[in-house]
Amino acid sequence: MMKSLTFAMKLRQMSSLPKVLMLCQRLGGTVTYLSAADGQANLVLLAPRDRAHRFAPQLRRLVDVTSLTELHVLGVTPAQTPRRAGRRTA
Amino acid sequence: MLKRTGSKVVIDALADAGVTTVFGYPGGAIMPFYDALLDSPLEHILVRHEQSATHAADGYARASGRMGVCIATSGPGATNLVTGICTAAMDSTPLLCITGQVPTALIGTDAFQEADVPGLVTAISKHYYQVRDVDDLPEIIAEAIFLTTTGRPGPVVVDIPKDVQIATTTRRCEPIDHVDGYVARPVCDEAKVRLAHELLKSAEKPVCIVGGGCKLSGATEKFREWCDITQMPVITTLNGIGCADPEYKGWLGMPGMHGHRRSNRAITECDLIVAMGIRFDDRVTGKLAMFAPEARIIHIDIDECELSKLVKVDAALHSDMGAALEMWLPLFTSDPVPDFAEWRDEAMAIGTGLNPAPAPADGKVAPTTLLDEVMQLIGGDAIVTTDVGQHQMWAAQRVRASHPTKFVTSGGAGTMGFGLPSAMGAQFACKDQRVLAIAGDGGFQMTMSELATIRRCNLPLKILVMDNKFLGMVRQWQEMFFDNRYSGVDLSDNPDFAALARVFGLTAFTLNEADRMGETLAAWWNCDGPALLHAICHLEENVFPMVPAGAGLADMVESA
Ligand SMILES: Cc1ncc(C[n+]2csc(CCOP(=O)(O)OP(=O)(O)O)c2C)c(N)n1
Repeated sequence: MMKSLTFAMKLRQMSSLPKVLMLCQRLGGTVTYLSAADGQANLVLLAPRDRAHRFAPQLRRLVDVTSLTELHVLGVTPAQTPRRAGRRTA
Repeated sequence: MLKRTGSKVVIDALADAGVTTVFGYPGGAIMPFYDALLDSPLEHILVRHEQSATHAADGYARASGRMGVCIATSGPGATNLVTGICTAAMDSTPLLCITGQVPTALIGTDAFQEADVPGLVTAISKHYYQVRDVDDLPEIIAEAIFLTTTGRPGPVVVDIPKDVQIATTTRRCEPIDHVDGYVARPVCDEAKVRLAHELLKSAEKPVCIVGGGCKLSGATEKFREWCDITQMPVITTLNGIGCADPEYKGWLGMPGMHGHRRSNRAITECDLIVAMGIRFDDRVTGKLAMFAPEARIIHIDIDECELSKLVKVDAALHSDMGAALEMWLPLFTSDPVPDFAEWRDEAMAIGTGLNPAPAPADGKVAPTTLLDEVMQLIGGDAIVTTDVGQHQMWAAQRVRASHPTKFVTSGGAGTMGFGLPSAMGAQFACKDQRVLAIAGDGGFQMTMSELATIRRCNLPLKILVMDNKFLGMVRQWQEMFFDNRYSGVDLSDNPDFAALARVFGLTAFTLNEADRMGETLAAWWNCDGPALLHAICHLEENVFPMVPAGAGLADMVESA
């Protein structure tokens, strides 16, 4: 079972994006959407449900992530999420 | 305005931060820095391999509580640091690594000895910098020192191209005490401490598990005060050894895979765990579903990531441990908790499960008997470092460290080769203390070239090589779980380690027969200067108790 997570974050430098992506991958997440500009990044990922709680604190721990907000999208069921995310990136 | 080179900026910042000793190995891309070192107050120790520089700096930090510093050149110098950086990260050591880099104009051209250091250390460091402009360096180095030593400490890498080391700047930087979005010392709400207190008040069989976070927070004294008040049973993880006073009536020992019987039993039977500065490592918990099945859990940790990471907790205190205890201790006066002494004694009475090894029929030395004798001889105030393997577990089961700085071991990473160089670092940090390095014959051979450094610096540390002619821990697993099929573990043609040490200029002893143990140990431990003892041990002794991988703590195997 996967859970969709959405984060808005501020970065000290854009070059730290790979670190963010590598961390998501290590935790078993699949990034489905990423937009980033001017030290801000918005990220949507699919996380294994039993590990979903690990993403926010681990991302926050990165020194280059100076703020992190988890956005909760109401009314989205896990089954819908991949298609929705896919449409958004298309 | 005073102009300083990049190299001088770094050296001044280190000296101002109280660093006295740095460990390193030079090369082309770090030569300007090495030139500047000549005119600096820093003592530079030339190791014989960069990995040893990281472990020495790590040992220096763990034994002293101060930041350790290591230096390497670009390319292969930097890549040789990787194992040590990972080791420091896993055990949260404040380690600052300075690497030389090819000149800025050549970065990205596959220049001679260029390696992508940021790319290499991204996943294993707390943070890293590559300095492109000397004007940025004062602030970067100040920030690097701040980051490595505060919060949950960890390795920070500063990669400095050669031209930046040479270039000059007039910029200065005061020590930094703030980085945007970074909390250097989290302190939890008092309400959380009250919740923990209420949980403790309602417990009948509580157990405390304390880990490396206690030492890193400088909370050992407060923790011992807390133990004296609560009188509850206390378990120390591998990196928490020494946090509890070894004379404390309720010190159960170590938990987990090779933990003491009474520790694992207490975890299985308790109704509350107070976890302080621990990570719930899989080697500690065994099968998670079977871990502390009856217990509610209070967890204090400086790193939010650790809270409910693996084990769901009932009270999560995101806090520096010392700060949390400072709030907690007064509550015991105003609102006392039950008397846990009876449960404590019951838990202690289960025994350690460390059965005396039968004397080997061949008259050889039983490694557990040897370590019992060694621990007796050296007492609790000597600093003991270990390598990784069976000897590490036997030592951890037997050491009676008087303080957590007295037991130095690679816990999280389990890095073979750590024992000897970390002892070297510990001896530099604590010049007037006794230091003992315990290594297996496998791990010793990974970094034994440091015998040359030890001799040159005439470090009075003592080295014990426990030679069982096997990669013992792997052999034990092959014996127990792979049907005795020994694969790639044979070290039967080991060199004569005593002769080898003599070639390096050390005093050396050989212990071959059990009945000469006492006199040989005394001669070795009491001689002047660096000395190595080559103990030729019984070949196939196993570490017990043991919780097989994937099993629960209740499924502990006590002997073969
Ligand atoms: C760098 C590294 N490589 C491999 C291992 C896997 N490993 C763990 S214990 C061990 C055997 C250690 O043998 P030895 O140093 O002789 O110590 P003993 O177990 O016999 O006490 C090995 C190979 C490791 N921990 N570290």
